[in-house]
Amino acid sequence: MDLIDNLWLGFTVAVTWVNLLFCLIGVLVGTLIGVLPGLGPVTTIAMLLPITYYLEPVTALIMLAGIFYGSQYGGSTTSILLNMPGEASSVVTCLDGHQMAKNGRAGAALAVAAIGSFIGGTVATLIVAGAAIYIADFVKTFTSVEYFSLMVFGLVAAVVLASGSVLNAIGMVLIGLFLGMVGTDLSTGAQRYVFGVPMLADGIDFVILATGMFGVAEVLANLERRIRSGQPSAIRNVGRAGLTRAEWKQSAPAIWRGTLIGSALGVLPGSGGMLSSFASYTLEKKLAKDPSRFGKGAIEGVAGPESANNAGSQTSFIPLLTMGLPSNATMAMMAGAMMIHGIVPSSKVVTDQPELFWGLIASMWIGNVLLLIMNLPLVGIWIRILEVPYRLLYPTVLLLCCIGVYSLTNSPQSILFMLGFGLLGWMFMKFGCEPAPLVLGFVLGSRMEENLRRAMLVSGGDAWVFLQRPISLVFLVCAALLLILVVLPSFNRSREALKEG
Amino acid sequence: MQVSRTRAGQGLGAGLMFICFGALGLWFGRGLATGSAQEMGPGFAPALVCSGMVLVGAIVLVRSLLRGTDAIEAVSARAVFGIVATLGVFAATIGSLGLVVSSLVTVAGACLIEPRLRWKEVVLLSTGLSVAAVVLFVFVLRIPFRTWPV
Repeated sequence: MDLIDNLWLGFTVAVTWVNLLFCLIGVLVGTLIGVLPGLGPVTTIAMLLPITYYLEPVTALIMLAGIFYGSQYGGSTTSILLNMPGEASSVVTCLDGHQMAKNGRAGAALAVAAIGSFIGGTVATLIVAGAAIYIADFVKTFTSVEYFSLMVFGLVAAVVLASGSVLNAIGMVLIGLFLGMVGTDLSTGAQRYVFGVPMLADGIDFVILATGMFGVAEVLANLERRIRSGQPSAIRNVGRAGLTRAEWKQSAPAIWRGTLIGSALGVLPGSGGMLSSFASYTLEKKLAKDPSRFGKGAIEGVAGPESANNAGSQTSFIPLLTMGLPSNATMAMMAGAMMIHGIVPSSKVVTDQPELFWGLIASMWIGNVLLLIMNLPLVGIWIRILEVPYRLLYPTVLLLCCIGVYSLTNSPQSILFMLGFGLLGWMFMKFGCEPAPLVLGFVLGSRMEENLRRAMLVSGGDAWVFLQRPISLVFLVCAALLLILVVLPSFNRSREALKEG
Repeated sequence: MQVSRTRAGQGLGAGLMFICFGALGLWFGRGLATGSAQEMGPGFAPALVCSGMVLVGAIVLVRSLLRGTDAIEAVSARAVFGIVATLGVFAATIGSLGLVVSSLVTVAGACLIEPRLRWKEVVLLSTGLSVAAVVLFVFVLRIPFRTWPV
């Protein structure tokens, strides 16, 4: 069977010493930063992007992916022990996870989170492996008309399903698209917004933009916030790790339901883990015989969402790897990492770079095994790491960003550009605008323009062509429906609720 | 935490910011040929995107004036200047003083931003990170950095 051959190929790539090592490094770093408050996966990936330049592409992606899903494991640890989500998608885990910890069942909560995440991750990895070829084959029939509409849909969905103001997010996407156009125009050779700066002639460097917006800006925002608040204290008494028979019976179905919900929602652009875990929590509460237990330490409230967010984080690779469409900021970082190595993320990755694609998939499963094995025995260490104060962390982040960017460009000017993007990103946050949609726009900018151009050239300047092709029409109608949805008050209320956790 | 809503809040800033971005893009892109819909020039897409920014900015601005938005959090001058100075120090020293010294002063400078400063930590952290940077970038990744001042 094809799938087995392909998975075999994947494992031969993933199970080499170098790739296993970087998978391990990835999940360790991921768990670490998932645990550490004030340092998220996007910041970390941005910070490490320059280093990946010196690795093989598949090794680089294996490590970055490990950071991403590893951080979800780590994030649940802090949610349970500290009532503080180390990572956005584990907000929901706080509700019952921390209550369980207060009831002396922290060990059980951590165990069920790890097991749920593992099952979710494994099933979702299989789904990615099974679905990827078919989706990629389908996408390959697309012409530039369908591609353009697909990207419009992707951006709209990312904007609508993400948290925060939709209008601001649209504005940020536009700024991102605009920044993506800086440099030499691909088809005419004209210089756009270069201002005689040689560094801009090839366009704005993704690494500089990413380290600035997610590294420097985050540190700046955190420093400002820190000057006001203190540190919370952790629950140290973890208790027995094993689950009782009753707890098993309660959590097993929740894990399966969470896995299914997460896998399905993870594919949607813009959602990532947060929507999945929230949806799973709501479902578990609805299905429970006694909903009043929720919020007081119900184990399903940990098992479901944790499985869902890990499943979702695996399937969120589907749009990127099969269509070249990054669905959230982390995936945009992965796209950036691929582009550093000259690989354009598109449906061609599956066929042209099978070692990369299947190697990455196989490594995701290996990474999940590593996380399951490591997580519980190492909980003690993670708790101690929580006490690493931010005042030791941020100089490290700043230095890594600086050296990383300098190592790629060898010019002090690039540091100033990074600083500029940092200040810009900080200003965005001050005005209530998330920088994530901007990166999505930036990554897609030039490809969208090229496809628009080609589509219009072939159609003879007739924009109706986007509505005449059925697949393109479907994408645009879906995009329009999503935008209409936002205007509806009831949908807006649930978005707000999600935002507030 | 109660956040007050005000007309001069985040929405006002965001709206003005989008409008400025769009307007600057249109202004500096005015020399780029837009071409026709069939054969787009290099200025077509930027003009489209920048007009979109101005439009979105205008809507955000009007809405914020009508309904009010969350207030903008206070700016900490210490943090902003600290970051600018830290990165400036790195950019100024890395070329001439080399990785070891540059890392030392950059980390030490960064530590100064934090108000609850502990000198022993600053010394340990900056030396530690400086050594780690050399090991990682020069020995492991083999990037041809200048390590010491000339």
